[in-house]
Amino acid sequence: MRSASMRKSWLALVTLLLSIGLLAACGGDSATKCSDEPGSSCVWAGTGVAGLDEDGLPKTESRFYWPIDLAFGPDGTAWVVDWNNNLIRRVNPDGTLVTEIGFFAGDGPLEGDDFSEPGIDRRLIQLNHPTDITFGPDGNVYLAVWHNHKVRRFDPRTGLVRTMGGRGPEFAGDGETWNEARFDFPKSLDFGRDGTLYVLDQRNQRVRKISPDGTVSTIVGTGEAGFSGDGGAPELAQLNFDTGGNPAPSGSLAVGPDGNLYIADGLNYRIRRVDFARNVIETIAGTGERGFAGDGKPALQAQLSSVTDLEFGPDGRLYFADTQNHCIRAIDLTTGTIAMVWDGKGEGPGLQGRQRFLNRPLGIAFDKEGHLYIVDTFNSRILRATS
Amino acid sequence: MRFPMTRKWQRMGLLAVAALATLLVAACGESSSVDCDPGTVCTVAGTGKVGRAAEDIPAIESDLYLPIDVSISPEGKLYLLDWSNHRIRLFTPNGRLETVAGSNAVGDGPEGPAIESAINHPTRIIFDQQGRMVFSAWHNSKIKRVDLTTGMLEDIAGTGTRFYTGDGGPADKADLDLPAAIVFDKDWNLYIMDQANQVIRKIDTNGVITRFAGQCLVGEERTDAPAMMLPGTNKFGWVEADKNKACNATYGGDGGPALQARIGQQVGQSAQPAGGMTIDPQGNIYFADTINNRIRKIDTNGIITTVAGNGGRGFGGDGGPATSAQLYWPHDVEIAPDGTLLIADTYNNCVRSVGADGIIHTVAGVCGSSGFSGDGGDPTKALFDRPYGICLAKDGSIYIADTYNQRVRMVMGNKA
Repeated sequence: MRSASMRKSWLALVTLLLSIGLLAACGGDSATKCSDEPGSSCVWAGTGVAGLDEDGLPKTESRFYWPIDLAFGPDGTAWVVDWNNNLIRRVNPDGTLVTEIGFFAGDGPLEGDDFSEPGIDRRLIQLNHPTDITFGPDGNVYLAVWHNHKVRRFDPRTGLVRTMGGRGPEFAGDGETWNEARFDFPKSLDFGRDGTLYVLDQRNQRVRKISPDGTVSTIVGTGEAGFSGDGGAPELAQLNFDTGGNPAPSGSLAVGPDGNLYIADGLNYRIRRVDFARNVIETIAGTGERGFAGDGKPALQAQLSSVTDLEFGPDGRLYFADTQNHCIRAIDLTTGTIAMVWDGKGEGPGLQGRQRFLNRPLGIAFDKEGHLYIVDTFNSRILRATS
Repeated sequence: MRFPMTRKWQRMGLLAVAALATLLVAACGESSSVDCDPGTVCTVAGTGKVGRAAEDIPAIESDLYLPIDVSISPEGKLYLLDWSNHRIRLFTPNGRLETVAGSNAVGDGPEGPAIESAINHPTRIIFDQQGRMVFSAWHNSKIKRVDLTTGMLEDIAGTGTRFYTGDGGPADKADLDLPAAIVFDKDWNLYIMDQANQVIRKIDTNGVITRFAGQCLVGEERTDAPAMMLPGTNKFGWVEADKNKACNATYGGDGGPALQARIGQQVGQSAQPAGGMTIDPQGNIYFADTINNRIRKIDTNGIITTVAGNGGRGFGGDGGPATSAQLYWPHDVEIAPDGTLLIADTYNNCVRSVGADGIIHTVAGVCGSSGFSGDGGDPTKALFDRPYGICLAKDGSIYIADTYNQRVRMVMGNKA
């Protein structure tokens, strides 16, 4: 014979235990806990819901809005290009997420001038759809601020942002210094070993470069979208990136360990390489036909979708975000074969079920330990995989 | 004494309450049911946080991303333009939000089911003769239409290229450049604020597009020779003019034909949707001449005048003639059945009204101060943050897209 109050206590106890159990199951879910165990993977940042939260929340409890890329600074800090929040975010050593650059969508400061020295405070500058971030040999952080048609430079020592050309979308400035350069949706950036900054100038259908002396020039592309030039000089070749009034972010570039330049040639559904020693451009992956085929076979016979990020892995392979195929693939450049790394529509090690589904991943990155990070853009989260 | 708005409007000598409650001509219908006392302001959607809310959760628990306007259909349904989430959402009868157009992406199309079709920064919704939703897809440079019974979306004007071509031809072959606002007249001709082209264009019921107001002049303007139409465009300029340059934003032409007038809407990288438009029952068109800090009117004879704003940027003039007052980048206008003009005085962070007597007042917000406060109280003591859109409901309630507060707010009407 139990009294009502006893029954209530039992109920409370059961509820409490259930809650603890649920908390343990959710909070301690192996899916969200990152470990270094080979083959493991986890949701590393983001909640899976698009949005923006205040600074200082743990990174798995803080939202992104369609993040597009991630990069690790020389000190190991993770920087996230939070595309549709129009912000550059940074992960603190304690795992919390903060906004590093920007305060809302726009272009530049409301007052003052980001075109002249010393620049503008990082939180007083507005960005419009940044797409890429890279770290210069000079200690500065370089941003492709795609929808502002600008390349911007952030000095972490002063906290100031300076704009490097780009007063409006246009093709201009070749042969001049970067102050005079104009870009048209600069999508991707990377530094060469000699300190050259390469810029994928999307709607200009070109790859530009800013030499260490500050001179701007075109190194790939005629300016007209198309596919041509393999086996010839890169500046005579055609590339093909999304264009029109409001294009989608298209293409990517990366400098390889061999010093050559690799280009995700978006709407040509190919990956191309500029061999600087021979001054030749060539295709290394993709038949040119959009599709999803060829894993385990020569990359030249494979079908790709529009590829939007390239990164060299610790194993020397060239990894890429095969965005519209919702997967990450890699090419072994010594054998020329292509392989699946993370099939965001199918089975694989690590995260299971819906947790491993990708929705148009636009970015990938590796940290110093060699973990692969997948920016699962339209799920507004970042995954981490241990090979 | 409980309703400050009533006192104010009575002071203005307007039968605002009765008029607003009984007459309906403008685009809006009835308000949705929200627990809000007459004459007070409240939040009807948004949490204040940027986010992309899931479907079918209460509107006031749904994160928004720069909501830019609301619109009410002929049958009284309330729609929200969740601008930077690139989608259009419906307030359901139980106060939840449901997406009716826009996919989980930003982009353009394809035509077909509206909830699988990407759109890019929609700015304005109106309804056509058949009750279909017509909206300006600002960043797509297109006008799109959704048949709400089938849920199918199609493009009806603009090629998607941001340029100025096509006058005199079919609207679907014409280039627009940031169509921000749209309005139908009583004969169902469609008017488009073609923002970056600095013109208002008109699509007649045969689908032919023409220029209705404003001029697109490019490059340095001269007086010693007439401007010529630049080859392959509908832009005008002089010999050395570059047709790829933006049309000049300037001010001019009051008292003359609207086709000769000049207007000033935002262009360039930081441009935000500008130039909200509305039409009164007589067919006079009112629009926000945003960077000119004026509200202008085009009467049925095609003559343009300024009805509010002296051109000076700032806040001033309440209690005096609207044409001597200062506005700061107004973005939207609405006209009440009694002829009262409501103005989203965006960068003053307030909503102002101009009565039939031409006197300007503030009806919501503290002009010159931004913030978020005041729900449940006097709307003129509440704070807003850059309200871009306003919509007047049948019962006199004013919906305010409190854009940078990531909320939609409402000044409850005084309907008895």
